[in-house]
Amino acid sequence: MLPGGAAKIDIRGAGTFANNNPLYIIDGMYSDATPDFNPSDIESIQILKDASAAAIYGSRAANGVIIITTKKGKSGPLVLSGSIKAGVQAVHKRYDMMDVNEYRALATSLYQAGGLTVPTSLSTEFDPAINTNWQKEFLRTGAVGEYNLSLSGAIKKVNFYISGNHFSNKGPVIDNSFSRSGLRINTNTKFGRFTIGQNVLFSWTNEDPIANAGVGVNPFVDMISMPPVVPLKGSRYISPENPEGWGIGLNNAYLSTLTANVPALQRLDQFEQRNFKIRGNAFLDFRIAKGLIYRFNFGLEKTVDKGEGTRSPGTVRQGTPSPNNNQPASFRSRGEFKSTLFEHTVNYDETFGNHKISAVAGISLQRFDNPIFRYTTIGTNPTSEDPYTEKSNFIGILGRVNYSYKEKYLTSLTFRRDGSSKFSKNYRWGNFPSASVAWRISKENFWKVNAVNDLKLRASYGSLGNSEFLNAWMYYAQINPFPKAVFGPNEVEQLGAIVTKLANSDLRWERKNTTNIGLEAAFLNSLFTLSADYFIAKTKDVLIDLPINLTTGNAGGNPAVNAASLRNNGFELALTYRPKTAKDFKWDATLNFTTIRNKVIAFGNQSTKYTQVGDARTQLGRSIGEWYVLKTDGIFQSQAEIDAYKGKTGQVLQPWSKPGDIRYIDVDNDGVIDLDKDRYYAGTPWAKWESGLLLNFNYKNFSLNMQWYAVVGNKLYNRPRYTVDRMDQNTNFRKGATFWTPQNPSTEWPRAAIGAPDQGIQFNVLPQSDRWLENGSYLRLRNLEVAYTFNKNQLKRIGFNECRVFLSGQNLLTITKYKGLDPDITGVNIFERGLDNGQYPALRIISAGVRFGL
Amino acid sequence: MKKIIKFCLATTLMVSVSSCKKYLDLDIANPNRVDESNFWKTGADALKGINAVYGNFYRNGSPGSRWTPFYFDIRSDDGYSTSPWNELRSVGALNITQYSFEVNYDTWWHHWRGVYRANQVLANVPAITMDETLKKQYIGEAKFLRAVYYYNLVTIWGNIPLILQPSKPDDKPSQVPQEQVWAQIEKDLTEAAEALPTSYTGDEIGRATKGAAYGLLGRAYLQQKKYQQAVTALQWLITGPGQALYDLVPNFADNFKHTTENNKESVFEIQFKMRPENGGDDGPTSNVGTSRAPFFAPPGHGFSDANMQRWVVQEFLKEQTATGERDPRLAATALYDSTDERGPDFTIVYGSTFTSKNYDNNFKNRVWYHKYLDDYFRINQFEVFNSPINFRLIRFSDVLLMYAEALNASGQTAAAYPYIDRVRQRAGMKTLTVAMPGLTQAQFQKQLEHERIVELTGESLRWNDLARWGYFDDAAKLAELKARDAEFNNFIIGRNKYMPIPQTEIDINPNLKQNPKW
Repeated sequence: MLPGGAAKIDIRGAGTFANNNPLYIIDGMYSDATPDFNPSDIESIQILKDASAAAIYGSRAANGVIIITTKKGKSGPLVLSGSIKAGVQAVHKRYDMMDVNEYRALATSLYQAGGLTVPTSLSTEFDPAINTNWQKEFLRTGAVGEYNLSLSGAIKKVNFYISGNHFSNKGPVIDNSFSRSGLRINTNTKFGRFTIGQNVLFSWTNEDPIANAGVGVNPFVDMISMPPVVPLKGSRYISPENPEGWGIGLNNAYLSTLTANVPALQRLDQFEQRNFKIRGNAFLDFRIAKGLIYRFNFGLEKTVDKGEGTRSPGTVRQGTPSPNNNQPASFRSRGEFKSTLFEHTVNYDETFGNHKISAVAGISLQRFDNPIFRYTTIGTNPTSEDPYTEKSNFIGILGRVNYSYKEKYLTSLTFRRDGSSKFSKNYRWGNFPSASVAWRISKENFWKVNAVNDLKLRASYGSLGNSEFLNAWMYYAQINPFPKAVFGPNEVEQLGAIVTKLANSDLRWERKNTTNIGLEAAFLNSLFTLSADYFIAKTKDVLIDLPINLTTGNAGGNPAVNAASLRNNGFELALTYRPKTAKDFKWDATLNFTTIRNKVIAFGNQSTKYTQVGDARTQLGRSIGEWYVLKTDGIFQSQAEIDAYKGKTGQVLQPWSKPGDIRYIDVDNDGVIDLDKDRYYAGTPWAKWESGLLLNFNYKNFSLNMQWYAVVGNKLYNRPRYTVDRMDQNTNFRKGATFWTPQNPSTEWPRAAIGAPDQGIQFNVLPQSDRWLENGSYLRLRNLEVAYTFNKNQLKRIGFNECRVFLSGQNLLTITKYKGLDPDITGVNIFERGLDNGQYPALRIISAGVRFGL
Repeated sequence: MKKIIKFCLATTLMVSVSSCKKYLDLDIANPNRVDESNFWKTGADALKGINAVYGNFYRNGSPGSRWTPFYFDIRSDDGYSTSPWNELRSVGALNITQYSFEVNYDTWWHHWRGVYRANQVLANVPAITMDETLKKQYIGEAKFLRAVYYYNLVTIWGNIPLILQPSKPDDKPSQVPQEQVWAQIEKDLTEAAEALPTSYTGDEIGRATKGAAYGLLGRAYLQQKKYQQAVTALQWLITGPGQALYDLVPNFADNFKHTTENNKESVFEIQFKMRPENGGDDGPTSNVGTSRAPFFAPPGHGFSDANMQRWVVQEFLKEQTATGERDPRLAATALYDSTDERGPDFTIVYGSTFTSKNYDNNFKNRVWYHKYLDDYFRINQFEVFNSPINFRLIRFSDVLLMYAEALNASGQTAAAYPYIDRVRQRAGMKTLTVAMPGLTQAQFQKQLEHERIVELTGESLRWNDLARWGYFDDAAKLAELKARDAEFNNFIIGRNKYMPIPQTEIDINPNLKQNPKW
């Protein structure tokens, strides 16, 4: 997770191609996962996975709902509490790269193998004193600090909760930081039949992100691939475009490399993103009659994002001339986001003897307004801007009835009708019904199984709409006003306008229908508790920007389309063991187990059975984004082996190969090695199963908590390794890397040469090969916490009510065969879920803190 | 207290009622952009539409920008790539394995973008009520531009779809026989030639003309070896009504500078301009220059991703001018140690001498393509992606040489002499009539091949010349190329004449078949 970044949470697998984030409802206001939240303010978190339960929240709830309720003041004495936490964080793993002498030896022989002159940086001008460890130059040990103070209570009839929070994070990469300050005020009060209240959060964040500017620059790849013979800075590198002399490829006999100097980029590109946000709601409850309440809820979220950056003169990569390389440039952007919510609901809650009824009906109106402005100034050139405003409206009409009899039979019916301005007139509205039933069988008189003290069976069906993927007006083609043409001796720029991005006019609601059956049980006087669920979720008309053919001439991104239908079916199990133990020592354990299969069951209106992004193919009947690559089969050790390697028609399959080259399988057995038809499904990025284990131990005042997590059976594509192992370009190499020669035969490392002079070497470095796939299974200790809670008696003497000190560590231990920095990959997009493209790895964080209350 | 509550209630009610209408509306007007259904209504819309087709020339993969020279020049026997970017080098080395890498992807894509834009104009402009003369002109321009793109598509990739209507997102076209594409190119250009004006004035100069359409039509016929039709088409510019419009400029090098653009020798130029910003695709700060030069400039001024084979220099030295001087076209064509014949101490590279560059062994014997470099005004500077030099897509000397080739091939060798003579005379060479009278048809063709090298090298014509002259289909002729350019050892007959179609296209469109043997 990036400093200040939002967590990636999938509730029950990828149901949709697009945004899999659940809906957050914070004090009744709909929101996205945001980094502005102060965890100390949370009173309760409720996660709704079941479609029927989530149904009331409508169209944005299809990926599940996380309901967060913040703390409220209570009548009684004032409570002051606070906490302080400080720690360190870092990318804990490094690629083990060569030092300058090892690199020099291998690179020299690679240049020679390619028939090229060895660069003088490796020969006559070699300087062993330059031995740059680029990972060390780019990464550092970061720090986190968090401070909270809150006051709650009641003054007369007004309950209040006020909290202030500051979080600061010095990132684990140079020139990278994040900070957040927040102020929360929650109040509520009662007047006769009225209850009114409000919750509001003011939040300020400030981020200095990792610079990622420029084509072909990827910080977490470049930090390993930059040769150690390049210094961070050097007088040799000074030029008008590069006044400070940052070390880069020079494209001359001394040195040529296309790798970027990312520490330089990080310093030259100073960008700061500032955000101010107000989020909150105000509500009014009016008790019309007994059990009947009208509620008006008004919600508002308003943010102002300001980005400001400067690019100092300097070149960070060979061959990137640009008018702004030798003059400072500045960038500014401003975005405003406003979301308002009006909800009118009538709630009814009543018990008649053994019958309990609750019902709600209402309407929910939501409006989004999001203008964005951008400015760029290069040198003294004028500012240019392209303002763009996003606007959309949602209407939800909702109704729900819950009925239970003796807490034994429970049933719920929900209906929702949703309208969205993101669709064209004919497709705006959708109806989404849900229902659930449950039977607490252990309450039946005939239930005589003593070992099972509680047993509840439940089943539900729910239908939910989703349009989250869409932006406003995607259902029609817009005229791009920017193409221009130059004519005449005065080079007049005449205006042009035309459709550049295609659109699908028949976009409609994505619909997720989920069937769930499950049980909850408690055994042996609740020594064990068990919750088990089996679900089938079918997502119809999934909205996504499916790649379309370039022959369409489309530009500016792929148009949104109702591309396909998916099925996720899975099994979830949670088992808790809470033994009855001696008074001083308590412990419990919870084991979670999840297995989910996803499958493409239809391809919408598309006249196709598959689509492909990069090296991952999504085919009807298979799961999303399976690896579709060439099949390697070891390395030819001799010419005789190459000559003997024949197809079914008897001809030599790889006539271009030389000893040391990779043998590819003729998958379709047509007698030719073909870059298209000899690909095969080489594995899926989806885990076969995932499991978590939570352990809590308490001894007197001490506690120890552990959270283990395991992912098993997925395949990842390691692109950083591809970049340094291909060895046809001047990069650094992994320690121990070598290449095949007759004197140094290998079964792991094929023949290689910088410059790739022949077809055999071109084939050895093919990216679309299973050579780059790795097992992504891992076992990780995600969290470990040791804490000590002081006795109340001890505290009273110093005026404290509560005090707890703790020491915690995240990601302290990972057991995996994956060679990259972090196997916990969520990919660059849903189609390439298992692609390690040099993403920000999970960080190790060690922190200590204290929490207290007065 | 009750008053406060009443006030709160009333306010709430008012707010919700007044806001209701705004909130219940699911039809929100787009304040940013015009919707397609409100466009193509007026003559002004039609003008903007056709301008946007020209606007596609400013993309990297479009004709005259950075990538097409790799296909037409560097792939040919006069060029080779030394790029540290393996995939880019493999285009020139004829052993590409990454069919979807950026260059092949963008070149394919940006050509189809041009086709899509021209198709939009052709589908929508005819129905607009507007000035009929202008309407006819815009339609003619769109047909010409569509033919420009299809000419490159069919010669680079060979087996391509033929798309003539505005695209829909789920189009999955199949390939058509090449003759069908050529027939469409001929039809579009014939109609464009009929519709287009002979010339423009002022701020309209640079739009497609009748002469441009005939020039490209002649080129298309010649490439198909339809010699008689080629003669007829090209005649319009040489002896027909276009005669007064076109001539050779006295100074050969003026054809490759921004200071002498749209001159008499220009039949069609892609208009470039240097802007301070060079933003990406169709945005407010989009580049309207060409990004070609940095890839071709020598170290210190560009990436030197591609070089000219040294044999080309020898080709120039085979014959001196009538007054015993070196062919002046050599200096304009090749930048190397002896661009100035007095040698490296006098040869100027971006403002300073070749000697002062202290090039090491890697570089000092290299030859760089000189045409379209900004070296004459970016003194001691690095090339930038926004060069203002117009790309001469069709030059009158090419028209003359094509005309001579077509006449000779259709058996009129004697009649072909004067047109080669015109080109030679401008360079100060003796006329062929004097130097080599009475050549046979085959000898004349051989000589014409030489003339095209010394006149046109580096202008993205060589690959199709070689294809037309049969070098790619015959092992003996291919051996000549191998002798001149070792990269041709990777050339496989039946494969390398065409580039592979980007794999990503085939991966999502089962109707597309990869070119043979790729």
